[in-house]
Amino acid sequence: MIDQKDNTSRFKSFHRKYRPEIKFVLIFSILLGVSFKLVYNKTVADSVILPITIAETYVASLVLNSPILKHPNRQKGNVLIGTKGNPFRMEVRNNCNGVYESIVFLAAFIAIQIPWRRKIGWVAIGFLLFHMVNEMRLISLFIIGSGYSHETFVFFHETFWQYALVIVTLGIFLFCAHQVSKHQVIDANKLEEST
Amino acid sequence: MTDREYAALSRVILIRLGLFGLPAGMLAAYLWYVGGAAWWGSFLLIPAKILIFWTEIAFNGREFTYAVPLELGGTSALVYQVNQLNLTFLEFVTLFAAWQHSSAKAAFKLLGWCLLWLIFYHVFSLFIQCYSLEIGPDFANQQHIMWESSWWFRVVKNVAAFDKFLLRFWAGFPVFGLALVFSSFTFKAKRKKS
Repeated sequence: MIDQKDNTSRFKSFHRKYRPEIKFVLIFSILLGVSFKLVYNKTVADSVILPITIAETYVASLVLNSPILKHPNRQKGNVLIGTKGNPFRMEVRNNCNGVYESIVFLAAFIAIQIPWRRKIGWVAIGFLLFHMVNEMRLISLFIIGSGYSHETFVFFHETFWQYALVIVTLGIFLFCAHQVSKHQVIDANKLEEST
Repeated sequence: MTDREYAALSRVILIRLGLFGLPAGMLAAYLWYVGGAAWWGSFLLIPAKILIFWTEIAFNGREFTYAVPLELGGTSALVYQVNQLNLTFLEFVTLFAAWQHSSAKAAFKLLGWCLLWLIFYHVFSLFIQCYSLEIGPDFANQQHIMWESSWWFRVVKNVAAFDKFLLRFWAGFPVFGLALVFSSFTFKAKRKKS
């Protein structure tokens, strides 16, 4: 039989053992909640998120018009409009710009218990990589939408790229967290050797 | 956990994510689209009927229909696409496959907790999305009912919006995290007993 005392001590030892992890989850959840409220606020959506969406649409349009991809299009705000006989139009909405996913990525990095001077560089690299992947997503969706069926576009839009972005974010986070904690271990070893 | 353990764990999970997580996720996606979604929807209907007992819920292979009784008699149906649950399912399979299990027993226990939390979360999502529509202005306009905002509607709307934000991208992670916590508790408890 496990009595009440056992259960309490198990909770206590769990709390003691996983204190940094519990702290991580708490900070991460609070940050997620606050940023969720922020991005759903109309003023923030119009003055911050929309310009980011337009900038990402602009970059996608430039790459699609390049001689390598040869998918002529015109950009109007956050809409990509196919030209030269291509009737496809694609609106990049506020939740398609990678901002929501990068919020989760940033929240995870803020919550992780590592000094800022160590993680800031990796946060920047991860953020850049992440937005490059999101640009690839926008570009590929325009190409798929222009040349393939609506069902194919829906599958890539709703499942493939969403899943890919989540996995890429997780991969980048794990990689950066590994690099940061690896350097911390190396530094600790050096300190031990010197003393 | 120490920095050394974190460095080792993040490396192991990263490798396992590529080796096992991604192939398992691909397989789950394939199964989901060749009938798995319909199967999961039919299965989810049973707990949904038990947990949301005050309204009628049906499933037609692609979508759930949530019946709303009208004041003047009759019902109106709200629709919830089963495919909205696709990412949570794929994420849970990916994370489960990428995780390093200490034994087969621990893996089965974790799987059980994952499924339990997944079912609870999916039923909650189905309920909160349909309920926020039921008490919202759009549905009232459709039914020509007078509508006024209330603090309760604002709370439900915010919870539903946050759920959508999670459901579209990340909900598989809290489901797996909760399963991990509960699994570690119960697994240790059993070992202590013996």
